[in-house]
Amino acid sequence: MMKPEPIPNQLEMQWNIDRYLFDDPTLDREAFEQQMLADDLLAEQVAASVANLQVLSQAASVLTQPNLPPVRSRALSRPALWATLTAAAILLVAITGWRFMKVSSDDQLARIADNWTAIENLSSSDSVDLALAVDASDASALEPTTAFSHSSDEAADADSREQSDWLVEAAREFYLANSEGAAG
Amino acid sequence: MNSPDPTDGSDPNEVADLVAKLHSECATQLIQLAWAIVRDWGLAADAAQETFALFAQKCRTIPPDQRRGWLFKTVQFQALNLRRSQQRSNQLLDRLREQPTQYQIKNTLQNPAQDTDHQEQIEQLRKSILALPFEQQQIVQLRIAEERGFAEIAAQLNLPLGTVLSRMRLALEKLRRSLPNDEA
Repeated sequence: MMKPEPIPNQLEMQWNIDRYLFDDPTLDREAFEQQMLADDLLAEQVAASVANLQVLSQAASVLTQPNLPPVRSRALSRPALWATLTAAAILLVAITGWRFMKVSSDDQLARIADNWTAIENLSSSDSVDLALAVDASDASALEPTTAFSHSSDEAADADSREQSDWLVEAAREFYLANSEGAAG
Repeated sequence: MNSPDPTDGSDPNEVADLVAKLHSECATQLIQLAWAIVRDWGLAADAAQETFALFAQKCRTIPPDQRRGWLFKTVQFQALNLRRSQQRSNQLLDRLREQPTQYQIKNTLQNPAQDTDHQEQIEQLRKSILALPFEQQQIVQLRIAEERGFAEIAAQLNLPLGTVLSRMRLALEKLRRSLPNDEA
């Protein structure tokens, strides 16, 4: 509830009390103490102001607590700033790598589809040559050879490897089928 | 001649009862008033204790309607004497937060039911402090939270002393409205 505005004399008296309590160097302290001795009302008001000052002092401690809005600086401390920047950089690299890997995998799928069509159209002798070539090669040779192939995204690596294995397996089956057909 | 008082001090038991009654009514205020002079809760409590000891000796000679005023005057004299004898410097709030024991003693003189109100006052004041304009909040922080002198603050902020005092005055007038127990 808002209190009524104090009259100017009260404001002046209160300000003089505050000046006394806050050690205003421009106040004649001795004269003020003499005034207190002569004026019981003023003395009681000083006592009440000290009580308020106790509360105010406790409340003002909020200004020195780091977890509350500080007066001096609203910016992050230097260690916190570095930690935030490092985390942001790692996140940016991870997202970029994942996106690059995804594009690479998509490209590879397109190549697999093209190759599969080509494999289906191979002649028997061509398929034998292809199967031998695929069989002799390492599956890793079909994995994406990007700068991010050693990314920590193991799921993407596993997907890529699975696709390569599938291609080798398909070529091997095709080779065996054609071999059997040729033999038969 | 004053009207007869049931506790005129002729009976030791009556004197004890009278002192106890006035102690419960005024001790907190007297300690706060003495603190304004000595800036030390221990010395302030000593000043109040000495005052009541003197009152017990002289209550026969003090008219009932002047007892309260006598206590307020006497505690000031006691505090001034203690300050002189102790040669204490007048550092603002120097023991306000450093003597929790004294603060607790002070609180036990009040009604324990007031503790909740006290905490609410602190919270309300905290909000009010944080709502102050930056330049006023800055002065409050330096003067109350960091206990710097006005002259030191003026030098640090490169402001005239009068400007610092004006900002403090404006801030205190706003904060005082957050104190429901303030009678001013």
